[in-house]
Amino acid sequence: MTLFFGLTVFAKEPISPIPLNAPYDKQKALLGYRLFMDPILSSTNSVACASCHDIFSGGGADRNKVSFGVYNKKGNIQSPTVLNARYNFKQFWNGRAQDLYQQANGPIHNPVELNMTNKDVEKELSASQLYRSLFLQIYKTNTIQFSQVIDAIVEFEKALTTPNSRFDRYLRGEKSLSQDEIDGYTLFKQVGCITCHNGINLGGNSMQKIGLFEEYKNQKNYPDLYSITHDPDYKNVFKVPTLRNISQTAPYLHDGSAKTLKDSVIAMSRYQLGSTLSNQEIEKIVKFLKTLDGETPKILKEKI
Amino acid sequence: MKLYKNIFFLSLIVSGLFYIISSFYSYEQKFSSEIKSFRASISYIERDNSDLKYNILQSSIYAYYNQDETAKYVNLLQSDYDHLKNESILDDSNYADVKSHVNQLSPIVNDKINSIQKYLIINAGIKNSFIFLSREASKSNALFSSNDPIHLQITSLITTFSNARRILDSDYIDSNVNLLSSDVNYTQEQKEFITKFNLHAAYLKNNFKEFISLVNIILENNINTKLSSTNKVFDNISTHDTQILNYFTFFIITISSILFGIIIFLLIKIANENKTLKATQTQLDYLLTHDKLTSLFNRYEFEQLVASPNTEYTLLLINVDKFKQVNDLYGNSIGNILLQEISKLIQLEVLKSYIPKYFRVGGDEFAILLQQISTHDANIVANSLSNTILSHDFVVSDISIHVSVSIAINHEYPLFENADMTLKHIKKLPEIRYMFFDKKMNFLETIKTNINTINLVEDAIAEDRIVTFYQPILNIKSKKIEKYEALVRIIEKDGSILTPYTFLPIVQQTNLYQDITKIMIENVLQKAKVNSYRFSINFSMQDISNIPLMEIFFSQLESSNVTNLDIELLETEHLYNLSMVKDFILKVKKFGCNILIDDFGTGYSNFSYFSELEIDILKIDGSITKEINHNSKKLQIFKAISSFSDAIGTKTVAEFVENREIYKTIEEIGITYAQGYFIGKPSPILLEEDDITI
Repeated sequence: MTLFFGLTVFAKEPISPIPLNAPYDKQKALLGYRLFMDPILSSTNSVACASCHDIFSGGGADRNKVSFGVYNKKGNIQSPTVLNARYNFKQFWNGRAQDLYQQANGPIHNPVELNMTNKDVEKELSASQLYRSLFLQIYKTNTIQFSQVIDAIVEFEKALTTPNSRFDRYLRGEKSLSQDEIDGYTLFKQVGCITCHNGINLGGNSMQKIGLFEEYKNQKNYPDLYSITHDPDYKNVFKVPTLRNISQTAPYLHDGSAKTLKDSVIAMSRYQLGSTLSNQEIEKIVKFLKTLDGETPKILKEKI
Repeated sequence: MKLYKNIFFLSLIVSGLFYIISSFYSYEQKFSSEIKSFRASISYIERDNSDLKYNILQSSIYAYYNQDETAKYVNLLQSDYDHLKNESILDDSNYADVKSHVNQLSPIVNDKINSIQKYLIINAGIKNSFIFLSREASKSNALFSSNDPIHLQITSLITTFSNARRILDSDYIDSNVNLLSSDVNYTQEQKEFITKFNLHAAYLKNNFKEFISLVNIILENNINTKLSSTNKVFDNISTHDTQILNYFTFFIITISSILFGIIIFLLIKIANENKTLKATQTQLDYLLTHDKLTSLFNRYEFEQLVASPNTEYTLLLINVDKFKQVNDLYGNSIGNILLQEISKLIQLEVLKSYIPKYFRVGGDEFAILLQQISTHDANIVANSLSNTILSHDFVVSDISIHVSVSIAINHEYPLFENADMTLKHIKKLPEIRYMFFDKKMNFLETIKTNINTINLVEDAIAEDRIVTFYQPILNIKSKKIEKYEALVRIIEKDGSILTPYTFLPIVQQTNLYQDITKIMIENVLQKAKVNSYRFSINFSMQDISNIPLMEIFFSQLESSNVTNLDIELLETEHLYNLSMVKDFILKVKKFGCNILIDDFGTGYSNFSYFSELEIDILKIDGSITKEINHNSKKLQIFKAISSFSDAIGTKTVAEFVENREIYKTIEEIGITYAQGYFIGKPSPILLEEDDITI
């Protein structure tokens, strides 16, 4: 059996802690914060970015399986968290946005989300004395432009990082974890979760097929990578979601089918690992996952 | 004009050159920055590609691996390729070849990224299968009896897979690889083990070939090959372009040098022309303001200075006395030398404290403008000037000449005019050498009066206010009025009567004089035509020498058929053209005219006239007549004239017979005619004998 250790090479730590001082423009971020919270960006003045990305208690995601936009229209996928999104290599479940700027464009225009045109946004904001003075102050302009709105929102999203999770502090040698949590992390690596959930975000850095070892049966069509590329190899291929603050972002998976962490660990080991984990193993892994809850982003403590 | 043309040309060249150089510079900058940018883009992709390969190789080897870097480089490869595609140099049609190479790179890059994506998916499964196998295989010892052939199968499978993975060769795994075979006798647990094991073994068996092929695609050098061929094409074109640019640089430098040379040449030329122009300007300025002969300032400069009366000047106007005579006597050249000498002499040392300015303002006239000089000092200065000239021995061509000057001093405006008048005044007074202008000289007043008189006469002529008065001349023997003298008068607008003494001397110098004569001729002829008396009209030399006037006179005389007209010749001392007068007398005699000599006995009366001219009557000057009863000398003269006229057979008229006493005296002496207030005043209508009492 020595053979196995020869073919399995273990490398340096595959997870990096969230940087403590991620750079962002605070003034713009505060304006972005206001915009993010403000339903003015929706056609009915009823839905804000924050409606589906609960940054205060929902881990930056939606508690609903799918989100509801204007006129309570249903979205087609479980809304991913906005926290630490800056560390994702692409945005959206199917990675169709190359960066946060492209991403922020999406929901604003989506008819089932905020349902606004660029002009609508500019007009709505220009009608507000407060926004006019804020944009004048920050962007030195009298005419508010859509690109500036996006810029401010993205700057806010850049500020939405959750450093100093217990696990990060453990990685930095500042704090110890319980034996179960350490065992959970070891299992996380040993059983192969780490293969996809690695890097700063424990995910968010590759597209993967759900159902490697057993076909994942969807209840309906979800916008996967195939929906963009039409390459059959990409059926059921989604961006690997981050596991940061995972305890707060239930329900899980793109279809929100896993209500608890345990459910999702079971589902993942079945479809992605092709193995069955013991209850004990699952619990340890879940304990580990809970160490990934980070601090509330500093900007959320600011008054707007 | 030439200068401006040069400057225009020069600025045209400079701006043209500047434009060419700056546009060339900016083109060159743009070009080189585009080249740099393009090369950088290429090298970024090369870097991304090699970093990606390294990452992929590592990720294929390590059991678990942080894919953040891989993701970063996939994104970078995509964005750096987009960047390359948008390089501005590719818009240049010369770089169409490069552009097509870059475009050909697109599917390669997409393919690479796609392959990496697929690789990452398969790699996840393969890794997890390996992890599973490495974890699960050890469980087989506990599950199966030691002699179970399954151990051999497991070892064989794992060896195959591990070799294949280590060597990254898909040939190790082919369709002949057998999965574990289950046995109906196996326990449920054993069966489950085999199912799980085979799940992963099958995954490896089915996907390893694809995995290897993806790794090979990723490791393939196609991006770099394409990049280097792109680079090569790019280098060919850009080298060519750079070469052209270099040639052009050389061309620009050459042109610049030539133009620079031209500019320098033009600048020197302009500088020279400016110098010449300045010299000419200075010379012209000098000529404009200076007298050529004496190098003093000239009249123009004098007037310029005086025209702006900011300074109070005292003018010394110096005239060289009788300079015309010097010129006539010694010639102009000596006269000129004399003037030059004088121009130096007048620059007295003593004048220097009065900021003197020296001028030659006329042929023989100098002016000195002095400032802040008292009247007293001005007199002293004028005196010393006069003495200096007077005492100077001008020696020119061995001739010693002495000249004097007259100096007018004046500080009242009009500066020159006043001084000039003063000069004229001095000239009349031989003993005076310099004089201060005095308003009492009244020169200006005289001129004003003259002008007024002329205006008055002009108006009178125009308004027909020139009238003829007739003064009776009595034949003393017959006690009868025989003749009338026609006298000119002007009736002023207020009715007062002007005698010719107030206007004729002034009018004589103008054309108005002949107009008056014409009026007189007309009036007298009219009068003579309707009366049997004789009428005399006064003619001066000026009238007789006026040929057109005389033509009018004779034609009127002829057409009037008048025979009772006499001519009184005025101002006989001025009868300078005797032959003309003789002709005139001959001519009028044909019309029965008698000739009278007016004012005889005064001035330089020339007795020779009587031998030359046929004179009928002598009019003895009134200044003699009116005093014959008080002044014995005048009485003697009167008698002498009377006997002289008796001797040559002419009649006589005594003028200014103002009273009975005079009348009695002249009657005794035997004068033919009497004229004067005692006989009758001049009057517009003819006085008859009845009107007079003797």
